[in-house]
Amino acid sequence: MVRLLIGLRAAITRNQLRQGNRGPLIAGLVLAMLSAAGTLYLGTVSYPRLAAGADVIALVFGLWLGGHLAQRALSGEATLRPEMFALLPLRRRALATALLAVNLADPALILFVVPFAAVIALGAQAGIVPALVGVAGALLTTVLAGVAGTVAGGILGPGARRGHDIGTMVTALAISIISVAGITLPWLVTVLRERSAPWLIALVRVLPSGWAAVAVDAAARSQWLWVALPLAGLAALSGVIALAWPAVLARRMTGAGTPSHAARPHAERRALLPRTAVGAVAAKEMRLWVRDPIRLTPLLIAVIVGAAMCAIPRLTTGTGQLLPFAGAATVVIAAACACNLYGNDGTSLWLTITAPGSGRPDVRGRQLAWLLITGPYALVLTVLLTAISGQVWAWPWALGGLAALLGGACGLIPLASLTWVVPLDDAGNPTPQYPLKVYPTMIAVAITAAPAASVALAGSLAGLTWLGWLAVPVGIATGAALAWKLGAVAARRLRRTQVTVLRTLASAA
Amino acid sequence: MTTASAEAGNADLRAAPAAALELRGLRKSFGATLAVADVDLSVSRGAFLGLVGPNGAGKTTLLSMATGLLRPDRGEARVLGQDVWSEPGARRAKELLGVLPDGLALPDRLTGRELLSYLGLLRGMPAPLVAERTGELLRVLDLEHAERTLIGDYSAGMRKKIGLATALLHGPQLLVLDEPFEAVDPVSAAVLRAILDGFIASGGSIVMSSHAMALVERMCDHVAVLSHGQVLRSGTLAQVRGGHSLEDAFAELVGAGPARGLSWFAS
Repeated sequence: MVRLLIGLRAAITRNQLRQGNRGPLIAGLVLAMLSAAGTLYLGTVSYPRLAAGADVIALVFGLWLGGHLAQRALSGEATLRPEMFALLPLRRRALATALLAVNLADPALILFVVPFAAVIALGAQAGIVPALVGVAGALLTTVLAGVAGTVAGGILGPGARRGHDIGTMVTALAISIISVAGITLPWLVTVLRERSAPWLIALVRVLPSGWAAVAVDAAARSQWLWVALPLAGLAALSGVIALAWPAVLARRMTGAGTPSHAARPHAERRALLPRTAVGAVAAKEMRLWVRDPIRLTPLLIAVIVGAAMCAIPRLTTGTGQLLPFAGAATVVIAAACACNLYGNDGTSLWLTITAPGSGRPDVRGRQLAWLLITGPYALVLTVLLTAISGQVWAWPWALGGLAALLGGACGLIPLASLTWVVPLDDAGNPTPQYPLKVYPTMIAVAITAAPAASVALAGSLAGLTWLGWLAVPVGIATGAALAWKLGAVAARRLRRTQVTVLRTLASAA
Repeated sequence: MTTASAEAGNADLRAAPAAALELRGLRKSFGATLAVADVDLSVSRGAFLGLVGPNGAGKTTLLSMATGLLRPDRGEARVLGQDVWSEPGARRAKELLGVLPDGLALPDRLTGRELLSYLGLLRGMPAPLVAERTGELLRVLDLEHAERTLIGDYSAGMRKKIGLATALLHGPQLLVLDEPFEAVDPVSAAVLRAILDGFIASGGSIVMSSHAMALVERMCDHVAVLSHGQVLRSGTLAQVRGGHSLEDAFAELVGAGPARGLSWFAS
């Protein structure tokens, strides 16, 4: 059955590739390979002490493993959905074993061998035995990734929608933590190399993702108990998780659990908004931002990552220079994640097409809703953290930049959403193409702060306070102009391309 | 009067009151597949046309092109004389048209009332009128008890009903409904039929695709049979079925062979 299922998955994947655009997939693959090569490189560089190298690799393995689990929890098994087999007279345990085996033979997982080989390279620095321990550690970590990913997808992934809403929230938290770690990686690596943060060392070593590195480090020092324990731990953990898999699968296939959309109170948010076409779109959008996990998840990530990446340096080394920019960072991330609104909304675009003259209100309403959702939060955060930081010089930078970014984002969001519309996958989740839209949008949004930042910089360089403060009106002006102008361009584009966009979305559905 | 051949020339079209729906030479292909092949179809005002055809005949493609949801490769579609595919007619055509498409999504995370309020205001209707009509539609369609249920949690039949409500909300003169009775229970179907009968009685026109021949015979006064993207026959119900039941006439037209059982049932 395993061979049959692998053949089935290959056939489905082949058909998907034939229909879809292969460019983004290749780009994603290149990105993954670069990250994998970077990780492998970390195993080859020399460290002051091998233990420091083990800590660095333990940290990076944590990012790989966490990222894999988050991805699986978000999208589950998108190709071979367990529901497909619900009616077949198969023994549950046999099916569970087969699906698990198929997941372990996933090409994506085989790719993991490359970054995980870093632990072999690290071991080789100390001799042949630590290298062999590294081989065992790399293989066991890969197996753990496969088994844990399968079960995470089964519990939290999309399957008849159950638990998916909660799963999405959990995933948001996981992605946030990984993103923060990813952004602060260079700093974290330095701290680990210098071994100046014992709590961080303890953390990366106690997590299962670090056990392979711990074993290699112990092998280099001939502490055989500490070689055996982590390796046995990895094997045992994979075994325990695998034992739970049949039960998780059964729960999923029989549809146990609560429906995701519980009845919610009738929120009358409309009272705040004008009862016009623009107001109606904005009210609808605000409801969707709150109710739809596909939208709420990136918002939560933006809030957590935006605040954390600026607060962590203050909390650890006491430098608060980034604090005033937490609001701006949140805005950039939240805007970038909103780069595919029309793709995420799917074929309900027909409602806009059949309503005459609704192109402009649709775009303006979406802009207004996003501004109302993120603007007040970002402003309060900026004022609060700038005040806490006590850095007077930062006020014009933070306020001018924030105004420019909010406006620039409002303009770019509908335009990006109408440029290369990416439909959701069959399970209603973002596809791997989505991040390829997010990053360019992030850069584009950040650039909109350039005029205001230039003025603030000129003020700082010239030592003229009044010139620095000009950044605020400049930011407001460029923001308003971009929101207005790019919104108008987006509205025209929507009118011109809406039927084509609907066709793209309908053929993907 | 429904005719496959376009009798009236352009000059006549301008002189006579325009047909409720006029399709001329509509054509659409997807890659090598020709889905709709130069279809001419005219639906007069006040008519209730049933569009029937086997699976994959091109019904949804044809209705999508007629309602501005799928751009035709060539040909034109007019709603009460207004060109669906070019301004300034398109705007007016969309005001006159109520559409229930098949297979397109509704915003899953809105309630029925939220969806109708949104759509009414989006169409520029005054807020009090939107509230009044929304309330009446939800009441008549028996969706009031689901006041706090999101559309994503609706049953298939409830989705059809809220879809019909979106088509009716702005008071259109022509309804184009793709499979409106699919998955609708008998009680709800009776409600839908009463609404559609009332719509015709008030002077409106309807084009409805359906697989249920009995339903088409019971409700429609005109029928068009579509197969392989072409109109095989169209006209009044009596003309199309020609003394047989609609089901027999349909089977004969689309050339369905005798239905056979499975070989292993015999052993």
